[in-house]
Amino acid sequence: MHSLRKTSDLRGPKKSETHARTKMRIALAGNPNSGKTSLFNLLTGARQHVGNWGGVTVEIKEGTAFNGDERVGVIDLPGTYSLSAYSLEERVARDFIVEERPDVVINVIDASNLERNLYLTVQLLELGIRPILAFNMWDEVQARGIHIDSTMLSRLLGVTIVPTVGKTGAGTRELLAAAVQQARQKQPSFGPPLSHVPPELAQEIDALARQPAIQKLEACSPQWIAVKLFEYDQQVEQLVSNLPEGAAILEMRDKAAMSIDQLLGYDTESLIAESRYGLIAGALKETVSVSRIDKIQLSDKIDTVMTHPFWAYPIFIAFMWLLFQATFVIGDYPMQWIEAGFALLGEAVSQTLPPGNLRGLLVDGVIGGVGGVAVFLPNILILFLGIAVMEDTGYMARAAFIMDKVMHKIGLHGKSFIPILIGMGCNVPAILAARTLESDKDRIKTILLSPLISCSARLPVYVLFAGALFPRHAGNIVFLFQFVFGTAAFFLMGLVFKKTLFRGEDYPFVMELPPYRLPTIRSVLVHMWHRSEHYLKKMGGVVLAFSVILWFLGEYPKNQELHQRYQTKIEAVRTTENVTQDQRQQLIERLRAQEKAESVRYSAIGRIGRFIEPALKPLGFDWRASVSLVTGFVAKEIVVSSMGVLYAVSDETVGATESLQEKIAEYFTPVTAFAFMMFVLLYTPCIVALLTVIRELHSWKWSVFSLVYQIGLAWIVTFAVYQIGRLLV
Amino acid sequence: MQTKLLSACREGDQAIIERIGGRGALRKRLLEMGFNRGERISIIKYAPLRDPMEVQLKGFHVSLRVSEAQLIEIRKV
Repeated sequence: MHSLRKTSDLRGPKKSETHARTKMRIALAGNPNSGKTSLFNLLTGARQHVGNWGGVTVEIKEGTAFNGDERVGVIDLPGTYSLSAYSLEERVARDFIVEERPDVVINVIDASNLERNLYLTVQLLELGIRPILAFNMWDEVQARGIHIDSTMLSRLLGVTIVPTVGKTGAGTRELLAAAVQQARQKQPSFGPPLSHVPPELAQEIDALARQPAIQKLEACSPQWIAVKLFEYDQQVEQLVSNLPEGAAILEMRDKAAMSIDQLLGYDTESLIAESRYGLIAGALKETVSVSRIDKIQLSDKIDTVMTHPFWAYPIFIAFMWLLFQATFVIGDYPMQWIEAGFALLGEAVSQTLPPGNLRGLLVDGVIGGVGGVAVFLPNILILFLGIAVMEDTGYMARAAFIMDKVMHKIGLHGKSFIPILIGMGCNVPAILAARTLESDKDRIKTILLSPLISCSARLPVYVLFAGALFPRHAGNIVFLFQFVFGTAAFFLMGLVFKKTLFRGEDYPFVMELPPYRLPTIRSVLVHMWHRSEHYLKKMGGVVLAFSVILWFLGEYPKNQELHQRYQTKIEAVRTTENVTQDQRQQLIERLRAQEKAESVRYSAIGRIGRFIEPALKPLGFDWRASVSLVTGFVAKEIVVSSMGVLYAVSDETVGATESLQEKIAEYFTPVTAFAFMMFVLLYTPCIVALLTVIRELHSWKWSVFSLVYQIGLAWIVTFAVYQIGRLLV
Repeated sequence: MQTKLLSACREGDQAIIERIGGRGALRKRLLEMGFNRGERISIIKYAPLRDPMEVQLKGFHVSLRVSEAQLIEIRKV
């Protein structure tokens, strides 16, 4: 884990060391649900990009805003409730503020929920940051009859307050101007001493802060370090324990903490949290009044329906059905256009170029590869649109609320159900949907499990095999594989992971249930686009490269001798006299198909397939099945077309599937067919999914594990199915 | 008035927080979300499957698992 970005980093002077900055930098900090991202989008428009911070999965977005003619860099920190550095997001936000020392921090605050939002503000003040407070959702404050004396509050906290409305963009210009103005002023180097803790504790904090070793730490105030020590902050404890006097200081802390506990009857960590809230309550008492009972009741009314003991699930299922249908049914139309577009392009290239390797490479490798990425785009856009609506309205939190009990059984968060559902359409967006999870552990686990859900691309395989060997129960068999086995595998492996790799404490579920809000079209679209853009940018190049490589593996090395032999045979047919034109044509087609089937044997993929055949023999597969499975890494629907080639079924004969089914029925038994379907269900879904998993995990260790465990699981389960099946049948 | 756990409360109950037990990340999260001594909280509802639960404090709504609510000692009012 990324426990601390080089402990020593907290020490050195910052501003002078970092690369020469030409423009001012403003960081946005704030709670989740405070409308921070919307404000960021309003400030920067389209001028933004995603940057990673120190190689962790948490992303920091950067953009450019214009204050008049002046370019200002704006950084969107992860949304956090605090700066305790317990979660990865908090650590990233705090590290950024401490190490990068942005010129000014804008603290975005949900002004209709001041008390909790100001907790982060107090922590910023303690860090020696004088933030500009953006009192966002100002329209809601007014609508709910809350009166905030912001002049007074601003004086009490010693900060500038600017009211903003994320929905309309009101106040953003003033906010930026205020931030730029403050950045120009000299900031106080360190924060004021904490005035809000009980005097007994304040004494101990002072005593600790006066230790020479702590005084010597330059980047943060000794006060702050001492407070963090009494909060048992792991990052700061680490920093201190690296000092020569570290052990002595920590011992001193422990003694003092114990005596405070005895004196005040509560631990120092809680006392500090409480006194921050005490400070806030004091300030708000003098400045905020509610003139009438607010209309948040509407939100409560909606909620009684949405989380109703009985109706919650029908409503949830209806929404999920809608999301699924929209993603895959509506998404199917643009998908077909994209497919048709790429097919046209391929044809155009085929017609302009002579047949040969270059044409094959361009048409099957490059155009096919780019098309393979682009074709998922409608699904992904619609899915992320749906997710953005669910998140921005507040329904996502409720869905997690009603689903958490089920998902928590396998140690996952309530939100992890989305990958299951979406995975039934396509695993790629499902894996991407794991981004909505806050905790790293939940995210990794969900990404590892998502590919087990049977996607729609596996359907053709089930249809082929069930139709061939279980004609009377085809529907049931397909249903079992498509919906039951995949989901069962997800839950069973989830349990296994919970008991083995991911033991230990679960990430706290404690989660805000924001009031239901009507999102603006703009913000929903922006959220949708930012998530999808990522997929396109990151995946495009990789998938293209891999599909070109796979094309080569499928075509090379060529066997010239084989080609010659078939050419001679075809010539012989051409010159035969005693057959009709039709028969002759059929014979030639059959020879061509046979040639293709045989040449696959000699290609790299065919060699790999034959090479691994001994490993798959215990599962009941012959070399043809093995080769098909290897080609299945490209995409699951390829398994069917490879089988068509390998079992030498000409596409031209009447009803291509029917004849392939006959061949399958001939080469497979019910047991081997069942085993084959099982293997197809469980092993790596496709190259795009595999690459997405690797991209999203951000870790080679986990990526290798993900690949190995899926193939391993597929092998073991299929082995059991085949061996037991053989005994029974 | 006797101290009990938040997890033992029923829908519609009102309570005052007495102390937060437990340790580590979860405890910190609770403290920072405003689960402080003397804070008044109302139990809004349980999820349809009786876990997690929804409470209101400081004017906002929070959901937490029943196992997490077991760390919170309260007295009913």
